[in-house]
Amino acid sequence: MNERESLFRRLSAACGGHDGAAVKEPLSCGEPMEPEGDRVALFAKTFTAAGGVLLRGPVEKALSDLGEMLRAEGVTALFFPEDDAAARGIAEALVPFGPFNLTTGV
Amino acid sequence: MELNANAFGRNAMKALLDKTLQEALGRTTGRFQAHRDAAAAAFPEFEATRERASRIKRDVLDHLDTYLARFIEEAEKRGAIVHVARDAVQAREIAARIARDEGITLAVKSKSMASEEVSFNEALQEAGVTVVESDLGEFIIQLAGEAPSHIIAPAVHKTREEISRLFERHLGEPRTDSIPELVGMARKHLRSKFLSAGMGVSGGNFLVADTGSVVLVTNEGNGRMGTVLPRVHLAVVGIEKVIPRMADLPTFLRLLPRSASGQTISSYVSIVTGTRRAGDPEGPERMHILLLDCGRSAILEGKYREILKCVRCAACLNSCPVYQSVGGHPYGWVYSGPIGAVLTPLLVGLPEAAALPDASTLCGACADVCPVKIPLPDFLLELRSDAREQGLKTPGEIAAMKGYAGVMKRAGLLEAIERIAGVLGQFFTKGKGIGGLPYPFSRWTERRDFPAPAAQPFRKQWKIRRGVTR
Repeated sequence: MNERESLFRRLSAACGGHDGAAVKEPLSCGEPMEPEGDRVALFAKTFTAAGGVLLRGPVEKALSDLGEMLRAEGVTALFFPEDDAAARGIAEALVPFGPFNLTTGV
Repeated sequence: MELNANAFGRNAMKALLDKTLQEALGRTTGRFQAHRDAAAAAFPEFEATRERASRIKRDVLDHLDTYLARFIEEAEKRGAIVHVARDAVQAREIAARIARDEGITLAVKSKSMASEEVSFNEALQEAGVTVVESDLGEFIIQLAGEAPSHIIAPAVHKTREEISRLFERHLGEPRTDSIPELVGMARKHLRSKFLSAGMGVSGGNFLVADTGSVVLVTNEGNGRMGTVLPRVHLAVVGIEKVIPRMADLPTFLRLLPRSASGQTISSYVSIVTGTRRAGDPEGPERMHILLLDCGRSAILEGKYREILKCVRCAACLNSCPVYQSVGGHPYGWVYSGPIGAVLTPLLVGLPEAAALPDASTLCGACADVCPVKIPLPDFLLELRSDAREQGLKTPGEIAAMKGYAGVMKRAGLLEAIERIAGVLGQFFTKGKGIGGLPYPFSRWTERRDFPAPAAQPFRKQWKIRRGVTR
């Protein structure tokens, strides 16, 4: 018997309710800490309280609002890491709301 | 690591006389404890989260075979090679074999208490591998040739002056008392090791069953660097570290950093899942996971199984008046403080560590701070009882305890003794402390006065205050 089999024999003998009590089934996968909606609301509240700006709504509207805010801040260039495809996608999607130059810093 | 637990009394006395150690302990444990208390108070759901963590860990213990099997299956699907070691001898053999098969000559290691249990470094060194500890505290004590004295701050007993002397002797660095400069020296020395090591060795704070992940909760970055840069990653982890789901991890991440050092979150949380995949810019080509039983399955079978819930936060150490006074080395093995006083006898055998369960005032502070609600004081008492049953108590101790129990069970006798002691005490000491008592009580008065008995026992004062006449 290899060591793995031996370990599981020992564990199976050792596991289980104490004093012969029946063991409950493993806890189900669905015991989330909070419902997802509550987690998002908590994040939004905390992020906003820390001075963050949270954009909601469809992607197109969010990009448009973001573009406007960046222009108002005087942003003229967007940097993204060369090997980050997701960042490149967002930067390119913002260009029409600019104008913004794109750079990878290379 | 060599076991010397039964010399606790002697080594504790040396520690109490070590002024440098006393200063270091006071500073560090006080700071950790204060930060922990503040972090817990600032987290409204702390108690609810403790309860949830305890429940998850209890579920793990009840189904460890199921969850561990799932972990192994998922880890292997993602390219890891999983090994199991029944005991320290097997663990060392497996580690040496991995190093030889992978052609390793240099390994960088991040902190792993489990690896200390099996004298992992020595095993690799015998196999011709140079092992460099990359956690700053572990690096310091490796240079000093000492054992860790705290679970999360292994060099807590060292002052900056002592560290500077070590760096001067072993690294050729100039003396300094600037902590940033000392850290910079260590970083400079270790960076070249990270870049040239063939294997990175880590422990594991958690093993996630449903993804086969090894989770490292660290502050220095060495754990992440050491598991990403080298070609091979070896994780050495106790079998009890498994948690069922990735969704359970946040519960423990909310508790572990707060309990350990009062941080809301540690600087790094690294979730290592298998080997490097196509398109990954970094990561090990080969990953080995060495799961240690080393007595854990035997503990799981018995009345102390809840000790396996431990997440190695060291909150119990920082709150323990005994640990605060003597540090970790007197405990004589890998684990110190209240967790060590229970776990060491269970792992190495009570006869080899019978002194440790007595190294406690039973104040209960450890149970108050344990993030997973391990009943440490209950276990300490139970171990003392086991020691009595196994004939590990001296006749003197047994006689003293019988005498004490005999008096405490008889209220009238106790009251009579208190009254007599009060009269005699006031007559002979004039209310001041007693400076010298005959053996064996001289072991108390060697170092401090014994309080003089009160002129009126508390019981009598209470009755007078409550207006109960007698």
